[in-house]
Amino acid sequence: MNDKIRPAPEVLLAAIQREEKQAQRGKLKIFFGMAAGVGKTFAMLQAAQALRSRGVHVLAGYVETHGRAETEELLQGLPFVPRLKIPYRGVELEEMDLDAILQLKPEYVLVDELAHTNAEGVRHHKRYQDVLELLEHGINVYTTLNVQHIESLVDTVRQITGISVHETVPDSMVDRADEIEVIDLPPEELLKRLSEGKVYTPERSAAAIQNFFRKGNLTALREIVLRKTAERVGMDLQEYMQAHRIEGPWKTVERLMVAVGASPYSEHLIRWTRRLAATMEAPWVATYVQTSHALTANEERRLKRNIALARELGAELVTTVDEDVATALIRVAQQKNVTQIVVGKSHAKSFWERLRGGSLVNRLLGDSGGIDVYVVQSDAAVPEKNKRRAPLLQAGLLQYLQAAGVVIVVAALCFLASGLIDYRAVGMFLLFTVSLLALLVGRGPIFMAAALSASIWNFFFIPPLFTFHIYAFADALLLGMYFIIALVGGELTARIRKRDLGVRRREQQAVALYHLARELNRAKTLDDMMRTAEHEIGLAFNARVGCFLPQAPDKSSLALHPASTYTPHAEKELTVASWVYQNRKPAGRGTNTLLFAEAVYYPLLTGNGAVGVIGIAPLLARPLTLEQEGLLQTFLHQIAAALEREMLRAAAEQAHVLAASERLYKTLLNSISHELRTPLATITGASTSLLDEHTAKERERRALLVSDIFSAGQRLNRLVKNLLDMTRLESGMLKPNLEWCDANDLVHVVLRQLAAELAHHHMRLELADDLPLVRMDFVLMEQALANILLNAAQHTPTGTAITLRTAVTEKVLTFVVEDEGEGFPPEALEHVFEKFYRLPKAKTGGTGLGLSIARGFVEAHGGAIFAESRLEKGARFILRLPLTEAPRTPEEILA
Amino acid sequence: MAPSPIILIIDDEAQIRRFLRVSLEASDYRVVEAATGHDGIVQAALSHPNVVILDLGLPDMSGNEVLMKIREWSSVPVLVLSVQDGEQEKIAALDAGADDYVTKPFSMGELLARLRVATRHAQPLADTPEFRNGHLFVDFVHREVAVNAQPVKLTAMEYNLLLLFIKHAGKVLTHRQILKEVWGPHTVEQTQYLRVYMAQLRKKLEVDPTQPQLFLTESGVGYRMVLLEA
Repeated sequence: MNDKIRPAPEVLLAAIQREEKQAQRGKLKIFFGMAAGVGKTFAMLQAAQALRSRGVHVLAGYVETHGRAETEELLQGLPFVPRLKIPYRGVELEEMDLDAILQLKPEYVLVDELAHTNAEGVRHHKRYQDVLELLEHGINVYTTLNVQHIESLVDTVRQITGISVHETVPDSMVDRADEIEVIDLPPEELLKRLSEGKVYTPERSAAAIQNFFRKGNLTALREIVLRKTAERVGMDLQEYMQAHRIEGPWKTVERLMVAVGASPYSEHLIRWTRRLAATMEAPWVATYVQTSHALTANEERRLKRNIALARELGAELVTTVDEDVATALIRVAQQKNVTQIVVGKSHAKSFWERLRGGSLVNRLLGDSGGIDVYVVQSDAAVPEKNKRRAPLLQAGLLQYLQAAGVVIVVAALCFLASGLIDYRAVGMFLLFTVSLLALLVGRGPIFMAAALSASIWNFFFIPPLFTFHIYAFADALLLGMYFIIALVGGELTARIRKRDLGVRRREQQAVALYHLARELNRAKTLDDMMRTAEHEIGLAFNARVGCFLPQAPDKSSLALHPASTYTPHAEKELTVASWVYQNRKPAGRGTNTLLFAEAVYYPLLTGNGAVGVIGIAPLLARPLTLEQEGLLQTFLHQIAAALEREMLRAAAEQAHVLAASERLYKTLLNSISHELRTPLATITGASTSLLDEHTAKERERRALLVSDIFSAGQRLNRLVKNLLDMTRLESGMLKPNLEWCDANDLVHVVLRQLAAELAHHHMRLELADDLPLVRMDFVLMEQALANILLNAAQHTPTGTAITLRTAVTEKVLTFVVEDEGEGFPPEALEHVFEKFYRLPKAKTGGTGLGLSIARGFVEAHGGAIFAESRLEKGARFILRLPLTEAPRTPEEILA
Repeated sequence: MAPSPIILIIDDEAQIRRFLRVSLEASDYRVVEAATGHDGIVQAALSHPNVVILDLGLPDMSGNEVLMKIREWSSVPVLVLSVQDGEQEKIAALDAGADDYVTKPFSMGELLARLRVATRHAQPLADTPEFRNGHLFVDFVHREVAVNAQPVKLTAMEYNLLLLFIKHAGKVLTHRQILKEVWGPHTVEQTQYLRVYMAQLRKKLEVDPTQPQLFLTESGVGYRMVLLEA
């Protein structure tokens, strides 16, 4: 069936997106070999020369010839970038000049030795990071790599050759290579070249053959190279088959999970899982279960490294909190649809583990149900240096002294009262004391307190006194039980307390997060948001915070937000922030990139890219714990989402405004062209008639035509005035010029202005006597009132009455205009003040702007205007002006 | 018969100049034209106009500049032509020494009435002991005021205000000008005084205070006492 061979949409999409992305990014070609000397650099240079002969701009970014003559020959004619000279402990180290290459923007650049670690002071810690940046900038890279430097193969290589490799390249780097060219050379050939001195100088060659370049080693490495390449070819093929709908033997969906911890074995487990996942082409999850068990600084560091390794190798990371590791692992596995769990071999040693049902492995095996569990042998080569610190040493000395003091004081009191109480009751007292102590001090001191109190009880209270001998069997039993109960009680309480602390800490984090989310939601403007973000991060991480936002209009450069509590001292800090913004990766202190910076910078990432950068300068020089780092990531995520939301909103608003103004523009054109043409036609027609002598001779006709021209002119004038008023309103520049005005005078002026227009209506005035002076813009209000009266006159039959009323209260000045026309159809009421709205049956000659202008002017005064149909007949307009200051009567002013 | 008055039109629009010339010549004025501010200033000196009609929107210099240049050496009445909504512009011109304004578009009747007032002003005022304007009668000697022959009592301030209007009868007065003349230079921002006094003056001197005929409000600019037909 067709369904079968149709690839899942997400697979297609992923392929398309990858292709698109890669189109913008540079292409990476790796010249891949089993060891030094197989001719990777040589092959790379050959390829470069071939490109150059085709006229392609190739640049030698960094090429290491190791003094090999045939290789150096191939460098002839290739333009190169001078190396950076980095002073380091009295020596000068040479590194690739990344910025120079970025500036030159070649089509291809040659970067030898991908696994190289850069000297301090260079932007990136590792050369492959340099390469990634080059690729991001659309530059194609040719590079070389030996198999032993691939992260996930480090263990295997060590097992084969016994050599630990420290310079590694993450597998993802190899995975993203667009092309891998295997430079294969049979081991015999290589050894021959080596002995001929073509690889190293003769002295070094001898040592090399002794150590690394043994034939067995080389054969094994060669096999790994070929297998790795074959694996990759297989993957490419499968992708190709899916993209081109070739039916193939689809695998069931497998998903692996590895448990990550602070143990040194973890690293091995992670690598092992990655290899398995790669061969199964299955996604994999790395899960860290956080328990109440406190990690030492060393463990914390190792844990971070392990997690970073898992991330680098392409695992999906899950962190969960639980006291019971086995339960947590199974829970995550079920949530993530994991089919196989990988754990290390461990031995149930502790009493508690036995109580719970055995070691982690046993419990996983018992509870995992349908999930397969791989138990991997820990690598014996890793020395077990990091034993858990004895609980005795975890608590401070002070707690020991306190616990001992309390036990001694209680014992002394009991001793004084020994005449009154039985020695068995003393045991109860001491037990009670130890239980209480467990609430206050750690495990170690409790252990000590239990032992101490047992000894004291035995020595001072249990007969025979002042010896550790015990007569009665029952007493011995009691002492034994006492000791166990004190220990268990103490341990349990200490555990609860610890867990409680953990819960409280998580609660604090949850509160901080909630707080941030709430405040971000409340923030109305971008500035508010930034202030909130800076404040909350500063509070939660005890740090000064700097926020960098892209600057309009092209958004290419960053600017520090004024609310920032962290102000970088040097220009270079801004450079770091910019790098983070452009490359969307954290950088700065404590990272692998630009580590010389004062602060660490994180990009604010959203689905559409970076929206800003947050710089964090901790007040205390302590690196963030894993937990804090997680919290910070969540914070950044929230902030980025809020920022994006705000930016989208602003964009949407702008789009809306644009759409509205476009609509207005169209309506304007339609309405205006008609409104302009009608009077122009009248004027042209009437005046050409007047030019005709025959028509002009007749006095009456002449008068009629002239008056037509006159009223057309007035109509045009009114239209222009309305348009100008509308423009003033729309421009937002309208600012009422408030002065003390006489409202009655306003009415008179309006009536005089409209004398001609109102001549055919019966004007009824109901003006309040002695209206006080009110502050308003006389001209604007005159126009507003005139527009309303004119509207009434235009839409009512001649001969009907129009009533104008005024009234003043303490706070409001009201004008009411009532007419006796048709009133409004109900659906029109909400539209009458809209621009260009005209009643369906309205007489011609209006622009549909008058009422809209009236409303604009009144609203500019902070007032309001309403329209309604009268109960009797006709329409009513109510215009209200708020009186910000108490109206002043003439008497008050003159007083 | 006195020679007909000379009107200088300073306006850059040829159409406006043409229709003004036709209409004014029909009303027995002589017309001199200038298309730029610069030319206008020269013509104002050369042709000894009785009235200058000055458009405020000129291409080469602002109307107010032209006005000030002319005022440096001449007190010829100047009538400015202004656009709608140009209240500030009008006030500036009036305060800078223009005698009156007409808002475009204007009717010829309105312009001719303003010209009549302006030319009348230009004539030396005969020292008459009394003033009559429609229903209003003022006897300067006895400081007596009557409306429709009924005596009206005015306070000293109201009387001073009335005198100012009579002195500039038919001409617009800006709020600033009135306040400065009647109350002194420090009150020029206190328009509320003026509103109150104008309301009282109207109450006492208008036949129907709800429909003022004598003292008209020029919105946003000031007041004008209209010369009523006898």
